[in-house]
Amino acid sequence: MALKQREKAASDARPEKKRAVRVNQNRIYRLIGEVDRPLLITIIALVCIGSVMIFSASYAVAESRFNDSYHFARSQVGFAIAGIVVMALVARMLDYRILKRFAYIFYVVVLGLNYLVPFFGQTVNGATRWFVIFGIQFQPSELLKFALVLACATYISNHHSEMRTLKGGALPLLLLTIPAAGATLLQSHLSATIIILLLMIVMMWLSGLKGVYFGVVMGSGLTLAAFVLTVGRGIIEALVPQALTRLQIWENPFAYMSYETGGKGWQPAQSLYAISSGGFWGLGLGQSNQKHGYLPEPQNDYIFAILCEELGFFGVICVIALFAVLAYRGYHVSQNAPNRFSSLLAMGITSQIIIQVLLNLAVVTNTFPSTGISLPFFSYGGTSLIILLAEMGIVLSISRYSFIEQG
Amino acid sequence: MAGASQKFTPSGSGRTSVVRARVALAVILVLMLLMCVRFAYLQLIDPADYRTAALDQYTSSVTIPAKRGSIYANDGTTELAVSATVYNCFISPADISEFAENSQQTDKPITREELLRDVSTGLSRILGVESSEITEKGNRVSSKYQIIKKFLNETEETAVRAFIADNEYQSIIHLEETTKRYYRYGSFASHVLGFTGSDNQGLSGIELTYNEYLAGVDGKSVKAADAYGNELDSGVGSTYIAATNGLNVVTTIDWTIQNTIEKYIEQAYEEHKPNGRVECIVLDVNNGEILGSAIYPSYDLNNYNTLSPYYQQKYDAFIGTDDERSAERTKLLYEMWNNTVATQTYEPGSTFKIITSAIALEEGRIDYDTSSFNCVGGMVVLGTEIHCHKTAGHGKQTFSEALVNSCNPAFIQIGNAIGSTTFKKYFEEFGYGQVSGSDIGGEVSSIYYATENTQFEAIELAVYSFGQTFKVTPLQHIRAVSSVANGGYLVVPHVVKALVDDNGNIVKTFEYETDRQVVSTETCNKILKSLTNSTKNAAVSGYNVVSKTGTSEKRDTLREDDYISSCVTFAPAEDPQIAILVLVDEPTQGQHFGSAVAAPVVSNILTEILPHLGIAPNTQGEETVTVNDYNGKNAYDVKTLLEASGLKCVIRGSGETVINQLPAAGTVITADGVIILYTEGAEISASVKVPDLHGKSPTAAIKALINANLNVSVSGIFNGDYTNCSVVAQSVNPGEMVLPGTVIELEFLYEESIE
Repeated sequence: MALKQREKAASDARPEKKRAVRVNQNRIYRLIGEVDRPLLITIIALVCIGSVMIFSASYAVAESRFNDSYHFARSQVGFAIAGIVVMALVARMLDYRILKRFAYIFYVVVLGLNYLVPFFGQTVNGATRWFVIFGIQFQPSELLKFALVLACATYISNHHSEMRTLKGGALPLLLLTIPAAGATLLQSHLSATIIILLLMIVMMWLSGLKGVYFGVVMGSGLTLAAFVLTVGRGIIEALVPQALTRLQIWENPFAYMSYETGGKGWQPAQSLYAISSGGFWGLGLGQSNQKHGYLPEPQNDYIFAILCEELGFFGVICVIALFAVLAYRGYHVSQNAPNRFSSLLAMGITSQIIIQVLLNLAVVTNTFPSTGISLPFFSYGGTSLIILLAEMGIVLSISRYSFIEQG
Repeated sequence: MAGASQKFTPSGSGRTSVVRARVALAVILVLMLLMCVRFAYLQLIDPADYRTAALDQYTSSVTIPAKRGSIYANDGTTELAVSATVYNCFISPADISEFAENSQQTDKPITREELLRDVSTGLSRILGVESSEITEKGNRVSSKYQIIKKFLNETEETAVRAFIADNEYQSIIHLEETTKRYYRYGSFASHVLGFTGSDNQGLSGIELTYNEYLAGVDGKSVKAADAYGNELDSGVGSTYIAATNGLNVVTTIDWTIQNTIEKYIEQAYEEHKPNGRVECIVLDVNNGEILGSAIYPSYDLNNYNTLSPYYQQKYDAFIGTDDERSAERTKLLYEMWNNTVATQTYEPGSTFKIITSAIALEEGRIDYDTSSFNCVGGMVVLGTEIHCHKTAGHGKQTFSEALVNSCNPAFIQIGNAIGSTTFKKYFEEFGYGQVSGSDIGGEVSSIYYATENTQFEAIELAVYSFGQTFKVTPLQHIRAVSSVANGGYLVVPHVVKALVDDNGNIVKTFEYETDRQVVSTETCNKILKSLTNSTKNAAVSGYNVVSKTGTSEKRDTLREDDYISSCVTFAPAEDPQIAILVLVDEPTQGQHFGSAVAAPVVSNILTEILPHLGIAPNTQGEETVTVNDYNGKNAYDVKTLLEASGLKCVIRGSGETVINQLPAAGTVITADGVIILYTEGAEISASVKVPDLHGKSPTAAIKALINANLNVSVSGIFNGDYTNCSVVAQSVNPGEMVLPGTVIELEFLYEESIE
């Protein structure tokens, strides 16, 4: 015991100033240190670049629509500051174990909100996905992704011995995900559905589901996708005509630019114009032409196209590199997390962000049909940014609890 | 625990599988890399199409029209053609609908019909365009551009602007800037200057030949605008390329000379009513500058698409279907525009004898002093009889006499002496049979039937020698004969001498070869000597001139007796500076001889332009006196004085003191004129009836006028030579009552039947 106490004392005296807390009778100590610096810096950098880009992309639209160039930027910067405060508080104060305790309840509540939103929510651009609380728009589906990751992480860590089997691993995760996917479909929020399904697959993979079963799940998913894109087109056309149009627009957005053809191809086409106009060095920050009414809503889902135009391929590489660092540090935190739950949570949150990033870049470049996926840290949206930073706060918080030492 | 902290391995219990997490990370990174490749493709590898499309949608290009250069007379300051900014007025019917629609929400709602009516009547009042026409255009509802009137004048422009401002019709009525070519003097030098189409493209004449200099280079203004049309100041892709104004052309056309020749060829046209045209060229024989070149009938350059009255008459007389009439109109327009001085050939006739003489003298085939030629009124060449215009024959003549007599048999002999090979060689050396290299557009070559070594050779040569059968352009002909005037050098006739910029700096001068000698100066001098003052009707009072007339038969017309009457003259004879060619194509009124038709025109023109050119007269013309003021003087003293100086003096009234006089003081009268002095009791009244003097000889005519107490002023009389000369015109018609002492101008013409 004395030895342990000395060790504890010694560990207290470490230059890292890690604080050892006695956790249980097995004399396992949780060492609470500083947050992961590279991750923190990366997040701050992304938030800063994102805020600058929000201003650059939105000022023309803001000026013409609100007579106030700062309309979007002011709000977004406010939310960014608030978000960073939230992130800092979460990172500093939160004990991730509390999350596990409320995971299912949280999931059920969020799911409930998502089922209510089609009936009580606010309709924007024909989609009913928002609640308005005290004048602030709030999209419950943003929270749903996190709630799902949290619930999955909780389930997997509680039942990890059964996870390798189809029945014990894949099925429960599937059952957990289906209500979430259903809620987003009900909101006609296809992009959220796709993200949720992808998150499920990621969580299954990380859960340790036997490779064969994982292959079965992936295979059936891919088969379904292939069917949809080829033979099933006729069926889809009959059932959901707008979905087919969406595919046709994706194949050639330029054919659907005019008002007569519905104009749905306008945004992806203008996005491609903006991206290609950038070249290597870009036109210079603030110099975009496309944001002047050509690319609609340049501050939203297609903000990256404006970044491409203004900062060029060089800017693109820098931002993608920052996201890569984010992914790597998320992985790093996950690998050094104190236990399975926190490890899954860190990797799940990281994956959720990166999935959104990749999908957004794919949409912006018309590599994937336009579905309305915002770009984390960049796209305009206050509550979404706060939720995002809070999630990053959780990852940062986990990063502080590294190296569980066994006595 | 050996004091060592053991790292926790996740497999089994703690964290997720390292392998699974690594695979997940790897998949993420690979996907990111693929996205980078996608961006690289779009931004670096193949961005051109999208970039161009983007540029196209936010930039608009506006052409900044270059100002077309002006055309100046040879002084470099007299503007002949200028471009001015003017406005076209157009309406946007689509915006009329929108205006009416928008007005429904205001306190002044107006229907589309009411609005259009208001616009139509307003514009109709200002622009003088039929209101119904505007309404009709205004009803083309989908259009945004309906021209109401082009080239508004300043008053119209101001009124339209006021109309727009008063009614806030900014969206409906528009003025667009454009340029219009103005020709200061209308039909002045129309065939030389040519005209420019509405697209700033020269279509004929100097406007066409020098279009590349005159046109300038249009500029371009590319502006970037946002999707709502507001200009973007960040403006990537905005460029401004200023227009380069066209250069100004300085022609060789002398404004005074051109005006003079235009005046007299019109007069000749009215007098002789030719079937064809009257043409005249004045050439500076030393450098080939065309000082004047005119064709009558001409046309108005400012309305080049309107047939001039002469052609309109022809068009009106044309009977045919609408298509045929339309084709006929086009044909007539081209005919009207055609600068036939360079584009149409004719038989030069006897004026060509200058060239035949030069060849024969240069080659030594005849001797200027000793050769003699016999003429019996005709000559048979290879069984074909060729007549001399003097059927009685000229008898035995020296070369000089034969040339002055324009004796065809003599020239057949001279031609025979030259031989067809030499003749053809010189023909080409004189610049015939080829284009002159002039800057007058559309020049054609000559028509020459060279059939050497055939049985026709002799007869061809015979008629060639006096300028028949082959055809040349007036331009080629004046060029060739000018070489005889300048000592043997062939010049290149041209109408433009320099290009100047807007500050008057010379940018380019056009130099033409002037040192190509065809015949020796000696030869030339002999011909000049023979022909000096040889054509009395072409004589110029106070000057010696070298003239040769021609009356050529048009062989290719079906009618008989179609003649081209022409006259070539060099002045002054001592050192020729200019050559003038006047040509009347098929005169129908009066005589057809060149000496009677074309020579007087030359005389009239030279009388005016030689002093203008600063060439001093070397002989005094008719002696004249200027009438003094005799008021208050003793009438009889004055009479004695005047009569002593050769003037006739008549005293009217009973007094002795002069109280009035005719002609008034300062009037110039002939030295043998009449002065009427009025004393008390005499009334001044138009008491003299002008006698009919037509056809009277100079002596008889002048005597008749003096006897009637009238003064006389004479034109057309050469050096007091009254033989074969009669009045052809008098300034006051016979029978009219005039004041005594009035100066009556008489025009005389020598009855020379020289071809």
